[in-house]
Amino acid sequence: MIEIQKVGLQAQWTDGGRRLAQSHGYSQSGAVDWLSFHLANALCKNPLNFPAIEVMAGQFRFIAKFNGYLCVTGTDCHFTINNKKTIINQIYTIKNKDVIDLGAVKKGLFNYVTFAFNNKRCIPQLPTFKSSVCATKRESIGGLTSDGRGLKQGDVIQFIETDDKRIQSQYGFSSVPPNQISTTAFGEDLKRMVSTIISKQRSNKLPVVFSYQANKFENIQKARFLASEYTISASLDKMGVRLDGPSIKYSSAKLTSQPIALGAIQIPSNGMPIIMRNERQTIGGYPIIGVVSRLGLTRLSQMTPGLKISFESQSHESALCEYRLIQNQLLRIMQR
Amino acid sequence: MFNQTANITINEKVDVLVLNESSILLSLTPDYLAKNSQSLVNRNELMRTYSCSIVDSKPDWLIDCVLSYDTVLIEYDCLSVDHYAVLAYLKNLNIIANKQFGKTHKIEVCYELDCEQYASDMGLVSAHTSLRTSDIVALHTSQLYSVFAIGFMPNFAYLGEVNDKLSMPRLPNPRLKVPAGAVAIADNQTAIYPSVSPGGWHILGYAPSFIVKCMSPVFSSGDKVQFKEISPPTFNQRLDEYSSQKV
Repeated sequence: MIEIQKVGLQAQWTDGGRRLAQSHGYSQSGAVDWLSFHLANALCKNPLNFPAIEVMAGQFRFIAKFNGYLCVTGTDCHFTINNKKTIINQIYTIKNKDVIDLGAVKKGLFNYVTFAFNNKRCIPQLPTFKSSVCATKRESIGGLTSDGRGLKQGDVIQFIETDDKRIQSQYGFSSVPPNQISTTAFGEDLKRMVSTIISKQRSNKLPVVFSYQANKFENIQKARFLASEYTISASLDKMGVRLDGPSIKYSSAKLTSQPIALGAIQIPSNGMPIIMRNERQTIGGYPIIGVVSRLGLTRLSQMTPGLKISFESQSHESALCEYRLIQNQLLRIMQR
Repeated sequence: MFNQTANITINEKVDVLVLNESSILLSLTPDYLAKNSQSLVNRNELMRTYSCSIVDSKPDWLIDCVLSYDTVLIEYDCLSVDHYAVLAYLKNLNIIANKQFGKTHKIEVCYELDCEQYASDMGLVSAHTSLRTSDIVALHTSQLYSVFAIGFMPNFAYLGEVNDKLSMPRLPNPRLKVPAGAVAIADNQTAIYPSVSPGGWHILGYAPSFIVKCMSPVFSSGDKVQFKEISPPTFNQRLDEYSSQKV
């Protein structure tokens, strides 16, 4: 088990998100930076959607009360184990009573912490809602105490042994035997694979698939949308990110509320785009100009207010290719 | 460069628009709409047969299926299927007739409350519509409403359509806290607030089954809702009953 000692802005268990929840008005939730989340699991040889702790803006400390492995991914932060400086995107052996501390983040927002055990497969003992361990404060649902709150000081999370079959049925992915983890096997090949994946995230260009009402926006508006730089505003959370920049006009008729896909870019009447994220509401009446690709969303996830982004048009086919390519690389890391 | 992928027609009624690498949107074809001037209730029911049939057939790649009025979002696991596979699935989908889905919820509402705890806009509605309170209640309870969509917050069902005579704009100053259980109207729609939230709809009354949270029915798109008027004594009695049943 682990015992939480300190929580900064927010830390909570996350995974691939809820299933068939939006049809009842619940948000999808799930890890905001899916790439870092999947990478942490791949390094720990867990199924890619295995529960992990999502830490927002660092300042998170806990004591391990087990022997096993741990991996931290995401944004660069001051990360120590027993006060010894340690680096992210690595696997570490953890002993009982080790203190793991994620200090201040240098930039960016999210870190992911995953766990693995010696010769057995264990899952954190957490209630699930709609096939997910995610907590959403706004909805007062999910998480350790099923009321949507994040982790807090004093929380204790037990791990229970389970088998691959159960994990496969719950998380969809097949997994490799857990006893093959080796911290010494972190060779040059693996380092290269990890840095290839991470480098895909380092860009401020967000690919967008023009869809929804895109055809109802005038071309001049779409040209402005693609040619302009937008600033991440202070109004940013897991529901969405509001942007500041040149205003986009929508002059067609009023819309009936429509379901909102992950990454949808709403254009409200003031013309400032809003990118909808994991905890978005399920339906909305604002026109949508397009949808940010998965890769674009992972780029956006680590951006803080004041940073500048721009959009580039992409077909849904090439967005899918890009996503599948990254997933293949993650599987190679998992199966190394 | 600016143009989205064209709609793909799967049959004479339904079009598919690919939204991104992992989701598509179903809507009614312009041809079908041109030939059949359908009301929103009918369009919603038609799309509901699709969303219900999809959820009912439980394909393992299905992540979510969201109906809102006359469009359906299908989100799929794009590592196991792509949009071609989903299109093929839709073309072969056995559409099950409306009647097999959906429940009818009878919901008791007290329209006579107006106090600090349970605010009411009945006076404003009466002034705006030039109707007496009893007429407003009669109009609101006479209609069998459809759940067009669920959203805004968990279990918040958009119900319609409300009689034209009751059509109300939103409040100029939205409330910061609408109490749970408030039954309210806006435009041609009505809804019950499942929990405390900000809101700009005009409040007509309160449903006790939504005030004691664990007693509230769970809505699905396409369900039907019928409101039934209850008196303040019955309202209080229900609150007591529900609270004692609370586990």
